[in-house]
Amino acid sequence: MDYAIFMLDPTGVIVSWNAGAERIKGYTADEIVGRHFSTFYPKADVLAGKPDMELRVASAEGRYAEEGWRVRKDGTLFWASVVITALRDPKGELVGFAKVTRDLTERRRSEEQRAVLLERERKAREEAERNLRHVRTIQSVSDIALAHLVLDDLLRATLERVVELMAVDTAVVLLLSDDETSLLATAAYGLEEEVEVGVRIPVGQGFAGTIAQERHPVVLNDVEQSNVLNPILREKRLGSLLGVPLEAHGRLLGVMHVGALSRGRFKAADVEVLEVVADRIAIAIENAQLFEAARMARHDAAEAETAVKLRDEFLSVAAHELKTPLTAAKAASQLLTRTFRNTTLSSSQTRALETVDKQIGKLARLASQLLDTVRLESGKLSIEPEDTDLGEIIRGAVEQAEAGTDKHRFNVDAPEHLPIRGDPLRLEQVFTNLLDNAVKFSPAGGAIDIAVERNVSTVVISVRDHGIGVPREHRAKLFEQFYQAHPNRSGLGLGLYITRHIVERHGGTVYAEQPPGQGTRIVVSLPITNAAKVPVVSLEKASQSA
Amino acid sequence: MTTRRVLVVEDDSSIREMVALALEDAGYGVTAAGDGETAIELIPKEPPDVLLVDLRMPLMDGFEFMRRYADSGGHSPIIVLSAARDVDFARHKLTAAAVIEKPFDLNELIATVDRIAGPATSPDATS
Repeated sequence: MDYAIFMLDPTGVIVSWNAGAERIKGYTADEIVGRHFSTFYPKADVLAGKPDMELRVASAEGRYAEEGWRVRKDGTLFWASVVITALRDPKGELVGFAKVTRDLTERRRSEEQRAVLLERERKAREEAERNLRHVRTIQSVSDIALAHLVLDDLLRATLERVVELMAVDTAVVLLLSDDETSLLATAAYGLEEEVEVGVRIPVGQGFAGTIAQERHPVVLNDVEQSNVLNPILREKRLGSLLGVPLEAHGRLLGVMHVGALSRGRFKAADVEVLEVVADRIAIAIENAQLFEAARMARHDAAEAETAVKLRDEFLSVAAHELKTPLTAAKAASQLLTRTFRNTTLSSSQTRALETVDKQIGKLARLASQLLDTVRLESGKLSIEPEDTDLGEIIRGAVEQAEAGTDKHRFNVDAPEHLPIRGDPLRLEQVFTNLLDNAVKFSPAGGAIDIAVERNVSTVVISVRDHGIGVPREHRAKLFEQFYQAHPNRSGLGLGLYITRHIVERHGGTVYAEQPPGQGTRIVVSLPITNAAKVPVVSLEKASQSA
Repeated sequence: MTTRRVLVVEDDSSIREMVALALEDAGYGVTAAGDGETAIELIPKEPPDVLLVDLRMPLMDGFEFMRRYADSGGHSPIIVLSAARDVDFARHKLTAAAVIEKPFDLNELIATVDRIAGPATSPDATS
C-alpha cells in the first residue's frame, strides 16, 4: 500500500512531496510544493475551516488522526487515513507538520459492500419477520374466525384483532344486503357508531360501495380529498382508508375496510395483508351464515315439532271432551229405543230414533279416529292380540255397514270361522273403515264384494266397490294422513291411515288396486299366526312416557 | 228374590243418569256416585255385587278408587268405563273384570253386567 508522506510548514504550506504522494494524489512535487495543503480537502470542509482545525489540534496535542474524504488532482474523491504530526525544534518551537496519508478507498469500498450486505441481510430478516407477523395475523384472525361461529361475535372479535395487528385505528365490516343493493355496517372496531346508526351504503357509491361494485381493493391515502360519502368516516378525521371486498367462492359477501388517522398510511404490503385476512374472514362469514341457516332450520324444525305436539294434545283433549257428551247422548238414545221396544212407534218416530243413534255413531267414530291418529303419532296406539275369529269380525262389520246404507249390496265370500291372532276390536275397526270407504267410493250404490282367501300362512281379505275409482297416482296416498281421495266427500281422511297402521301393527300389509271394470279394490293380508310378531305395545315404556 | 246391586261411579251426571236408568230398567238395584270419595262412603250401606267405574275422574281416579275399594275389603268384580283404548285401558284389562270403551253400546253394557254379576234378580243370591 502506498503512503503519501509530505511536510507542511507551520501555516500548512507544502514543503516536501514523495513518490507515494504523487501516486495517490496525482500531483508532481513541482506542481504542489508551495501550495497550501487545504487543496486536498473537499470545498465544504475548507469552508468549514477543517484543515486549519486539524493543524491546531495537531499543534496542541502533538498529533491529529482521522479518516475522511480527500480530493485528488483530477477532482475525484478518495477515502483517506490521515495522520498529522507536529514537528518541534529542541526548544519546543513549532517548525512544521509531517503528514502521512493512506488511500483507504478500496478498504472503504469493501466495508461499504459489507455494510450493503449487512443491510440486505437486515432487510431480509425484517421482511421475514414481517411475513411471519402477517402469517401470525392471518393465523390469529383465522383462529378467531373458526372459534366463533355466530356471526356477530365472530366479526367483533376478528376486527379487534385486525386493528391490533395491523396497527390501524378503525376496522369495519359491511355485509351485502339480501337484495344485494346495499352494504350494511355489521361490525366495527373504533367506528362502533357506524353499526349503531346502521349505516347503509348503496352498492356502487362512495368508498365501500365502489369496492363492492368493482370487487377490487381501494386505498385512499388522503381521505379529505376523496369521494368518501359516509359522514362518520369524515367525523372520525381519518387520514387514510384501505378497503377490500369480502368474497367467498366467487360470491361477494361484503366489504371490509381499515382506517388510520395519519395520511398516506397504506402501502401495497398492507393491501396484500388485508386481502389475505379478508379471504379468511369471508370464508368464516360464509361458514357462520351456513351455520346460522342450519341453526334457523333446526329452530324451525323444533318449532314445527312443538306445533305438531300442541296440535296432537289439542286433538286428544278435544276428542276426549267430545266423547263425554257423545257417550251420554248415545246412552240416552239407546235407552229410549229400549224403553220403546214393547211399544208400537210410528214409522217417523222409529226413523227419528234410528237417525239419532246413527248420527251419534258417526260422531263417535270421528272422535275415535282423531284420538287414534294422535295415538299413532305419539306411538301410544295399543294393540292387544288374542285368539279371535276373523270370520265373525268380518260378519259383524258387514252387518254394521248394511245398517248404514240402503243403496249397497254386500256380497261376502268368506269362511264362517277363521281363527287368527289379533286385536278383535282393532281388526273390526279395519273392516268397518274398509266398508265405510267402499260405500263412500260408490256414492251411486251397487255391489260391494268382500272376499276372504286363506293361504298357508296368510289370509287375504279384499273389499271391492264398483264406484268411481281412484286414479293410479293417488292410490298410495289413500293411506296417508288427512288424504281425501275425492273432494266433496265426507270424513277426516283418517280411516285408511288408521287402517294401514293397525294392519301393519298386526304384521300385515294393505294396498289399493284398480280391479277390471270400475271401482276400487283394497287388499289386506294378515299373517294367521304371528303371536310372537305382533308388537304388543310396551306398557312400561308407554306409561312412562304418558 | 234378591236384587243384584250395581254401584255406578261416573263423574259425568248425564252418563251416570242414563246408565243408572238403563240398569234399573233391566232390573238391577243401582247406587250412583259422582266421585270416588262418595262411592267409598256409600259402599258399606249398600254393598254392590258389581261396580261400574269411570277411569278419568277428578279428585280420585279409577285406579285410586279400585285400590281403596280393595283396601276396604271389597272383592266384587269391577267393570271399567274407559274413554279411549289407550294405555290405561290395557292396564285395567289386567285388573278389571271387563273394560268398556266409551261411547259404549247400552245393550252391550247391560249384557256385560249380566255376564259378570249374573242375572239382575235371582231367588237365592247371598252376597
